[in-house]
Amino acid sequence: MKIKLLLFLLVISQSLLFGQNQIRKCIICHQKPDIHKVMPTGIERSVYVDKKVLRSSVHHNLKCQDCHADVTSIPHQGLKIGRVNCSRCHFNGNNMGAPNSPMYDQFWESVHGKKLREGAAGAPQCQTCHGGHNVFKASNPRSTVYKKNLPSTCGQCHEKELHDYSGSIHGVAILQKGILNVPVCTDCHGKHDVYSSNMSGSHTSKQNVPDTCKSCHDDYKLMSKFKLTTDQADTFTRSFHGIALRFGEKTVANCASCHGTHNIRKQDDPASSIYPANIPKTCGQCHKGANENFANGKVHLNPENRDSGLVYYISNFFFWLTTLTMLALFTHILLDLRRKLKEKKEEKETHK
Amino acid sequence: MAEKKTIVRFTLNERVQHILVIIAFIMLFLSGFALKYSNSSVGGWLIHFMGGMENRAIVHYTGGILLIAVGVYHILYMLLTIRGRDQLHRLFLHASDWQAFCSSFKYIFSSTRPHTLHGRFTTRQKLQFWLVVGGSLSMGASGLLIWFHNETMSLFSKWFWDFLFILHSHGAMLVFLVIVLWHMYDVHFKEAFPMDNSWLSGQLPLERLKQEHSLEYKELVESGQIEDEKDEN
Repeated sequence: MKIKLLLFLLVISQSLLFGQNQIRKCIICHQKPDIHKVMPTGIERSVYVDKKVLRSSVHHNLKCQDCHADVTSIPHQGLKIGRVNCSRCHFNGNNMGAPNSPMYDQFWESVHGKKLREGAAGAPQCQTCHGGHNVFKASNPRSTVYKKNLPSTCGQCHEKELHDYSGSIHGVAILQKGILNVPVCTDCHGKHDVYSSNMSGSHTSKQNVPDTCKSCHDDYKLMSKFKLTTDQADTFTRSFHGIALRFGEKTVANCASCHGTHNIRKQDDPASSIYPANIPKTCGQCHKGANENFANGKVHLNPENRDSGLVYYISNFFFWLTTLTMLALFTHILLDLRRKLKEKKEEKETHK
Repeated sequence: MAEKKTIVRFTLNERVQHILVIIAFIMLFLSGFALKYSNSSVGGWLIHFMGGMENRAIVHYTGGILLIAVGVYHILYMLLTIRGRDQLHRLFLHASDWQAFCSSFKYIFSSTRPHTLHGRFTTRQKLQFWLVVGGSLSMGASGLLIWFHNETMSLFSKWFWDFLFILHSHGAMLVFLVIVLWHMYDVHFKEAFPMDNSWLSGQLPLERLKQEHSLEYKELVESGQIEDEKDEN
């Protein structure tokens, strides 16, 4: 019994001491700004650790070896040290203090996870987006996944998309004006559940795009903040395009077909796909022979809205015409039936 | 009881035209209202039943072509045949129809019918005919413009397109009310519940001819085409 206890303490104290020693020891070398390692490919890579950043990160309670498990000795020349495997703690159902959520599994099903499983070069791992020693909560402005920082984080790989987005109405709003209500990459594409847009489950699939846009553009309060209406969402849903899309049509237009995706711009911006001069080209993607007349008039027109002018009055005229016709018709039928019944009654009485 | 004497009210040709219009109307209403009310469960079910949006469009186009074809044939029939011209002549509205219309209001709450004498077509039947003509023309024209939307949008501005949509959608509802509800009630349920067989057999009993189309009855008796029936009582 005594021996067992002694052995147990020995193991525990060893690891505790080792840990404590390591964190102090590690930083002695790794706090030198010019510290680097040479990869087997010959490329030099910095292995500098900013002590301050690490201490304020969400992982400030962890020891180096908790993550860098393959570093078993100091110095570690000749040791094969790989990337940190986050899933040692970050899995759904863990009790290590990491958040529990289905996002970990979602990641492996996502387009990024799939590429990673296939062993594709450049496929992102957790660190690619969340950072290494600088992991902060998404609500922390220092985080690489903080709303305002996300475009440049995703833009590390998706350069063209970042370029298009930066000039778009959404991009300008958040990157230049700091308006946090606008969508960044993850608001449309999903966070860990990023799927290729030709997959039916994707937030950006042909059928799902309207719902994705509607998550903001159908929000009256949010839209009125920017002096916008929810008419666009309503009218699209009720339009032929919207109905056909809902019933599974693949060739019909959704929001992105006309407005673009990363490069969405205001109508009065000459670079916009819906700038009047560009309308023939935009509609012409599907509608052969589209000309400047396609740009003549408001597209997202709500006939029930007084601003719609003539169309509003025509629509109202027909509404009342139909209603009054219906009323007159039913009154006529009811009165006629009443007379019919009376006639029958009289007929019966005369026959008696 | 002896066999009821009848006259031919509608020829076979006319009955076939009528049946083709019914088929076209059913196709057009089902596929059209499925789109108009696609938000409702019935509309959604109808679209799925027809096999999706593309098939729905095919059903609607087919119905439209059928209606236009019958319409064109009917115009030629009414203008080029002797019987057609005679029928058309009898379908025109006259001052007497206006009087019949006005007197129907006098008797609106009365239990007796206005003593209006009708010829081959009652005022209501004439109205129904002209409403079908007007409805078919406007629905056909707006339908064709919507069908060839690329050309329409290239030629006219967007507000005209919105107008077309409203006209076609609301117009359909009006046509439905007039044709399906009023016509069905007026010529089928009312006089010969559950329906007037003449749309199938073409025959109308003399008894009913005398009652409902007394002027035509008189005309036929005078010209010697039928014998005057003596009232049993």
